[in-house]
Parts: sequence; C-alpha cells; structure tokens
Amino acid sequence: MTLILGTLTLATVLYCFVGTFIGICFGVIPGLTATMGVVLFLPFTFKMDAIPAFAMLLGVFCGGIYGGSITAILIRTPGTPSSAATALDGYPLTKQGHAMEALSMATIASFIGGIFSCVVLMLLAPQLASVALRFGAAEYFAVGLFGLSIVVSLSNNNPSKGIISVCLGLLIATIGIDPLVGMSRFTFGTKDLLSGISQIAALIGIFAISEVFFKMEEAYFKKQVNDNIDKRISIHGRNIGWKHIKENWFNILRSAIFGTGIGIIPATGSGVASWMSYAEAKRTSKHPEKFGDGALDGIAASECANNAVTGGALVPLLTLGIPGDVVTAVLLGALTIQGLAPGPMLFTEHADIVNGIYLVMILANVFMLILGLFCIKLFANVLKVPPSILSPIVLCLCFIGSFAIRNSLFDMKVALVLGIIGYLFIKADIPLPPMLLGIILENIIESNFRRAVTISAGDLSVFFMRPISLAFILISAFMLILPLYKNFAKKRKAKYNNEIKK
Amino acid sequence: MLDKIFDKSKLFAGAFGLILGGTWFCFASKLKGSEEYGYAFFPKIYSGLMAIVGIYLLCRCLYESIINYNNIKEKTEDDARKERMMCFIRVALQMLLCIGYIIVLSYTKFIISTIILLALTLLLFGGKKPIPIAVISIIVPLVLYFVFNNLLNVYLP
Repeated sequence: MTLILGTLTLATVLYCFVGTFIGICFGVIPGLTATMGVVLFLPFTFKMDAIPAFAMLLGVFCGGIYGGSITAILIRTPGTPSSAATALDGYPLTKQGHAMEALSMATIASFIGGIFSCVVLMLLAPQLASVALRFGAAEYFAVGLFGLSIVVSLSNNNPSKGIISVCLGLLIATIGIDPLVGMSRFTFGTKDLLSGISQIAALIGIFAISEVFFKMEEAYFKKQVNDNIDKRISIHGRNIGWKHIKENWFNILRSAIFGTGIGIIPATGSGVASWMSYAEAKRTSKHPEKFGDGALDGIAASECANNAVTGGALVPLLTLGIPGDVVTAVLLGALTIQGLAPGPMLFTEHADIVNGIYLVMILANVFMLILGLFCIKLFANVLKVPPSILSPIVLCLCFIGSFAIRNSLFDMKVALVLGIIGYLFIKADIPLPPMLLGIILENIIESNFRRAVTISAGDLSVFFMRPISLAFILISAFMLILPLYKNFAKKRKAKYNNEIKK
Repeated sequence: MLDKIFDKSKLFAGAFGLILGGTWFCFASKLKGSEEYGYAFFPKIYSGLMAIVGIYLLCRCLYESIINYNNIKEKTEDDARKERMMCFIRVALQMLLCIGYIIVLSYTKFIISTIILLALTLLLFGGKKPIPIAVISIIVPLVLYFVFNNLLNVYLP
C-alpha cells in the first residue's frame, strides 16, 4: 500500500491520464502511430522524474495501440497496423448498427490483454534479470547479435535492404569518441560530432520527420478521406453485456497469452500478435463462417492480443536492454534520458522505479478502459482534423523535441538529415526499424566484443565456450538463415510454378 | 520505359549501400590503431558489409533488368508521372523549408521562425484559406512555447 501511494502521486496519475488520452488520439488518426506518439512526447519528459515520465510514455504506448481499433471499427481504416484484423469484423458490426458493441468489446478485450501482460511482466522480469546477472561481456555481445539477427524479420521479405538499413544504423552509432580507447571516429574535426549522434534525434528524424514528408506526398496525390468522414461515422447500439465477455473468456485468455508471448520475442510486435490471435480464434470457433461478417470473437481476439504485447515487450527491454518492438526501442531512449541502464542492475539499484513502471502500466490500462468506454464519441471527432493541419504541427513538435535533447541546433540538423534519409528509404522500400536497431545495439555489440576479446587475450573461442553466449549465437544464426531460406524456397516454388504454366 | 526495366528501389538501395559503404570503409581504413580488434575494426566490418550488399543489389537489379527488357509493354502514363513529379517537388520544397528554418532559428528565435515554417508548410500541404492558416500558424507556436518553456522547463531558443 505504501508503495502504491508513494508511486502514484497526483502528478504521475495526471501524466498517465494525459499520456493515455494523447496515445488514443494518435492511434485513432490513420498515419499517426503509437511509435510516433512516444517519439514526439519523449522530449516532454526530459525534465520529469523517472516514474511520471514513464507514466506519460506508457500511457501513450497503451493508448496508441488501442486507439487504432476505433477507426478500424467505425470507418474500416485501421488507425495503427495492429488493428487491421479488427476492421474485418468491426466495420460490418458498425454497418449493422452495433458499433457500440464492437467498440466496447475492443476496449474491454484490450484492457484484459494489457493487465494480463502487466502481471506476466511483474512475475517474469525479475526471474530473467537474475539470470542476466550471470552475463559477462561475451554474453552481452551474443545478446546484441541476437537483437541484430531479428533485423531479417523486420525486413519485409527483403533481407538485403534490411542489411543495408542496419549497417547504416550501426555506422551512424560509431560516429564520435570510441568508448574503449577514447579516440575520435568520423568526426572530421567537428566539435559537435565528438559527442556522437543523439539516439533521440535519430529516432525523431527516422520515424517522425520522414513520415511527415511521406504524408505530404500522399496528401497531394491521394484524395483526402476526411471529406467523407462526417457522413460515414455513426455510433449506434449499446455496450456489450457481461454475457458476451463470459462467452469469450477462453478466446480472450488465449489471445492474452499469445500477445504476451509474442511481445517477449523481439521484433514481432502487435501486428503479428493480432493476426495470429484472429486466425486462431477463427480456426477454433464454433461458427467460423461468421468471421468477416461481424463476429465479436474476432474483435476480442485481435484487440486482446495487440494490447497484451505492451507488457510482454517490456520484459526483454528491462532485463536485457533488447527492445521487444519498435516502441520499446524508443522507451530504451527514455531509460537513457533518465540515467537508467536496462539490465539486472536496474532491478537491484532502482527497484522502486521498476515497481513504479509496473504500477503505471496497470494505471494506463485502467485509464484506457475508462476513456474507451465513456469518451468514444470524442475520439471519433478527432478523425475530422485534416492531415494537412496535423502534419505541420507534428513537424514543429519534431524540431522542438530534437532541440530539447541537448539544447543544440546540431541535433535538429541531425534529425532533419535522418528524416530526409528516412523518407528516401520509405520511397525505396528499405525498412526503417533495422536502422534504429543498429543505432541502439552498436554500442552493446562493439564494446562487449572488444572487452571479451581483451579479457581472453585475443581468443575468439570465448564466445563459443560459454553456454549462454553459444546459445544466443546459435539462435541468431538460425533466425538469420531461416527467413533467407524461406525467401529462397518461395522464389524457387514460384519459378517452378511459372515453368509448369508455360 | 526505364521504369519498367529497372527496379528503382533496388537500384537506389544498391547504389546507396555501395557508395556510402565504400566511402565509409575508406575513412575507417585511415583510423590508426595498433590492436587487431581496435576501434577501426567494427566500422570496417559494417561499411564493408554495406558495400558488399550494395554490390549484390546492383548486380541483381541489372540481372532482373535484362529479364524484364523483353517483357515490356509500352503504356502512356504521362499524366500520372507528372503528378508524381509535382509531389516530389513539393516534398523537396518542404525539405528546403526545414533547412531554412534551422538556419534562421538562431537569428529570429523560436516563435517567429516557427510561425513562418507553419504558414509555409500549411500552404505547401494545399491550404487555401488565409485566415485558418494565419490563426494556426500564430497560435500553435505560442502554445508550444508556453507549454515547453513555462510548464515543462524545456527551454527553446
């Protein structure tokens, strides 16, 4: 009780509420994602203490993932990629005049998924942290390599482009002073580059500024959706009853387990979780023919799983410093800003902050439930704000955010340059998350490799003689090779089928 | 016709990887260090890998272009291409605007430069009504300045 009262100060509760509200708004608007919301609001937290800062950011995270379901249900346009499966059954229910049922099921399922994953986080993270205490430099290098190997699964079936993206991120992170010997690298005599490229500025540029440029191109080229929104949004029906929840209890529990498990595995994310759960719910349903035509089970499965990812993704982040998905990669930046290093020492030296993070996660889910059940019509109206007004404001927030990191115009320039590169990468279909991973993981990989080699007097077998290190290296090799093999097998099969047709 | 032969995204990615990776490798090679796995080792690995993958993508693009050459059907897409070009010009103008904003920021400070940036960006996004543009351009920077400077203690120029 003392812990709860000590952690949940008025400021923390307020920041969590505001963060959740903003997160839902970001999730509602197509094109604005939870990732962008967390990136943009990260600079707001620079001068805050750790727990209020995380209260705000985790509120944006949870709210952002949930918010996509509102547009998915009302206008069949998922606000975030993780709500694409929700649109399949949500929109038909809206057309049948049962929008409120769909929305309330999405809200309650998201809440249950979020709380379940919080409980798993609270139970699992300390156990994993105690295992991580046995990690040395070789193990940390192997874990970093494992984090890099997931770049292949982030590469949208194009591993070569993913490798280019990750290499650029790794190279960007080498700019500055070498962490072990203190020599400058790639600074070209510039003072500003001595301290390296700020990770936050890089995040803002890669994920937010590039998206604004892309939106500008889309706004001109495509007809804007907003003109039709007034005519299309209609929220009728009533909230679902307890009966519907009871009927779906097993579906919701299974989806929560799926979502949490997938969240723990790096690089998979809420999109994968929601589709997997939806497919499983359809497969095991007594009435699979109803899926796609307004099945509440489908909405429950999809939304429960995608919100269950939120807690699961924090497990590898807090215990090993490896982000579970792109949003948690941004939260890693938040930990750095607060002077906290993820890993087992976080649980011993800053146990109060870790406990605070658990509590604010639960609080964010509670606020999400309240806002989702009582303020739906308000969020539906957010859709009416045209992107031609939102995007310039987002651009301003990006510049403010990048400046506020170190009160430096140089960081603004970095964010802009990386934003331009990010835009070019979007046009060239080169994925951006690998670049981010490269920037974040380079220091872990390089410094631990060199440390391990120095300790072993140049003997590289140290990485293969230690069992944990060997296990991670083997898993990394498997994760690198499997998608490449699948890609190769798919192309061979397509070629074989073409030859048969001829 | 060239659009049909070459996969532009692969061409860009390959050229980007080769040029940047190759250049970065040259700079990394000039870093002096006596250790075998010193501070030049990893930058050489990353840049070398990038250059190799760039070469692979360029070779693949060339190989596919040879295959595509015989399968081209001529289509007239002039209007769509012109519209796309207009989009890119607008985006390029936006990028120049952002560069100008950063340069001007140190002279005219946050509020004035952000008002100008917002107004011009709203125009580039297709805004036509002057009153909403003026209102948004003035109110948003003032609100942001107040929130960051006074409430969040994050000082802006």
